[in-house]
Amino acid sequence: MNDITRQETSRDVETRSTQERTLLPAVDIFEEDEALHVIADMPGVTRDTLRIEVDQHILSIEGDIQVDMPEGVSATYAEIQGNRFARRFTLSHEVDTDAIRAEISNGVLNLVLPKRESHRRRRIEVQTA
Amino acid sequence: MFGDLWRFETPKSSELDWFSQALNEFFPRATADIRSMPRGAFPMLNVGRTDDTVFVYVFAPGLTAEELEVSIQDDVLTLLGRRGAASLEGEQQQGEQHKQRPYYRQERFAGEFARSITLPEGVDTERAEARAHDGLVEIRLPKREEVKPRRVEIKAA
Repeated sequence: MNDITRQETSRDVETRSTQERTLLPAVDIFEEDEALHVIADMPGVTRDTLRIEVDQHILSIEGDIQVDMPEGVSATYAEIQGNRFARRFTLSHEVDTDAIRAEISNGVLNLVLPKRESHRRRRIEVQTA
Repeated sequence: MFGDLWRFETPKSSELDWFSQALNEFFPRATADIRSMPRGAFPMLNVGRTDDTVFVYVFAPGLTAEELEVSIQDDVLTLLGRRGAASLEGEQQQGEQHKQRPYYRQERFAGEFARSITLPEGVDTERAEARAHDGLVEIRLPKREEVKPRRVEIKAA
């Protein structure tokens, strides 16, 4: 349920080859006291081609790979066979979706998903009697 | 013109030893190049060509131009470098000692890498150029004059 590998808009064989080919970016996800962090490898994705959305607690990350490829290039070998990255995650209710921050540099996306104040770890003062 | 990487169509197989598999499919007794590597090693590569140039695309997210060393010897292109583990801003100074924290997923490559590929013959290594943007490095290797396709004029008898 976490991931989607390919978004198929049509099953028509004729249009298959013209569909966009979607790749799953490699991610690191870890947690700190105040936030969850998502780091995704998206080489060739720029700030302009990156789209991040939260809808009904589904976080979607999408980005088009920008390659300046001259006309008439024929392939000899390819490990990246797609022109966009996409991946989705389900968020828990503790994430403050309005406070999500994103930044991309050198093809690495850094997402910070802050937790709501009420869900953060708190220290409880012990009072003397 | 952009985003048509899918032109890099090759036989679909998710198995690791893609290269020998593809070869075996077409030439059952063929052997793999001794320098071929399992598919998907970091950094990932695409290779394409036109009549006069060979293009190598290196997908190296998180690496700046200084952090990736590209060298060519004979017809072998080597990529060397190191990519640090995920770290937050402000932690960079601490170097190797980063905080232990619970990971839910750890899929991204971290550490040292060295990858070599054999280039098609006849590349002019002196005129090779490399450009980096957004974690993608494009290496242009012009072909030498003698290996470019040539049109042969047919003379009337």
